[in-house]
Amino acid sequence: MKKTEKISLGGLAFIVEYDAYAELESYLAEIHECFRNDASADEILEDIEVRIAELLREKCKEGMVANLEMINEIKKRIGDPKELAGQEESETDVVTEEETAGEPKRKSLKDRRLYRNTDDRMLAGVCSGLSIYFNLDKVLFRLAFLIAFCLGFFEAEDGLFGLSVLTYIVLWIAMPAARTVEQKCEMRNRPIDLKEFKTKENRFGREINETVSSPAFRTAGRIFLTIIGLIMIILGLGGFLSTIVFPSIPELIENYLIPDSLIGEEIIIGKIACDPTFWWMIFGVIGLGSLGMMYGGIMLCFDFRSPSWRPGLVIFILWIVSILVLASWILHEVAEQLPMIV
Amino acid sequence: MRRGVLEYSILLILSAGDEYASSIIQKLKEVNIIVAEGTTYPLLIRLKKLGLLNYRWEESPQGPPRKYYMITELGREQLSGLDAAWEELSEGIESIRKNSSRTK
Repeated sequence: MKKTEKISLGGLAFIVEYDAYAELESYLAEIHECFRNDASADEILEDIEVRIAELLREKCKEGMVANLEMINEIKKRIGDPKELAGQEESETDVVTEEETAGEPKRKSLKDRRLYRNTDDRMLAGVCSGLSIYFNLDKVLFRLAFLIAFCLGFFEAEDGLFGLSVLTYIVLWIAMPAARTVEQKCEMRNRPIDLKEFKTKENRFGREINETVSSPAFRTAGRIFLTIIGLIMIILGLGGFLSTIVFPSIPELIENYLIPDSLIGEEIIIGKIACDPTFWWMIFGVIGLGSLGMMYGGIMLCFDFRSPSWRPGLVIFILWIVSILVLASWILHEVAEQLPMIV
Repeated sequence: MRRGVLEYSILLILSAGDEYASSIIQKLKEVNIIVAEGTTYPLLIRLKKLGLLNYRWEESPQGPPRKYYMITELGREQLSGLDAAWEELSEGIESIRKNSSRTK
């Protein structure tokens, strides 16, 4: 199964498979590049596009999907882009030969441009971009910022906190993000060649929006949730352990807490409090609640997925049921006892 | 040289009648003058710029309007000049070929 793209080619509508689309797009880009120096480049490209559309319509009727094979067949018929440009090619070759003759082959530092590398970023791609420019490991830059940040945060060094944060932000603003293929080539000082347009890394990089879904924030979120989960586990455990004593409470209350004479509503409360059933139900309510807490905490802390029978939901429902049972029991008891007092 | 021959062929085809780009390409392919269809488009545009041919837009049943090419007066003049040049050239080449085969 493949993803598709809807395109308009030479005025005709097609649905093409994703890889076929990419191939076609890079083919057209190559042709455009080859006719770069021609004044009528746009018109030529338009005419060729119309021809490609004609050929594609023959192979791919309405309602069908165009695939890579069709595109490749069409490419064979239309021809290799360099061939199409004909004599132009030899002219540009001469020019570039002269230009590069006197320069060193290796990628010199001054020819690179400082861009943020958003394809391989933690936060904004600042460190990644710096690492490309200076040809050093990006981990070094990240460590530098983090250490400065931590030292400043824990006030080991005066003003380092502000300095590190400010420096990062300044770099974030000043360094543009390398988004287009040309920019990415400038960042690494690679010649802006036709084959660069084809590489997947250059084209489909990382199509996510800035900051909000950056890895740094995702990790921070994870840590936060883990801590919350841990707290929930502890609370749940505590609550659960405390319920163990519940069944024995009625005895305690009866023997030590109830004064000898009770009046009015106090009788009802006393009666309820001494009833073991009551405490069993409280045990149920608090026990299930604590169990739910522990379960939720474990899920959050260790980032598990719920099993298909959804224990969390089951525990929650049982908990609600136990509360309802408790409430109705209390009401029932009160209703029973009331006439006796009045 | 290929390009020159190709331009000559296009003018020849259009002198016989007006054509769409696709049928020009088909005729050229039939006699094996071209292999890559894309080479014709830059030439068609170049010839139009030189005023040797022209086009108008024709409605087509399936889709957008297409270019319908025709040769111009200037084109016909150029064509007769090219005819003469071609005859000269081919006679010259033929005689060289005959000469070289005799010595074999």
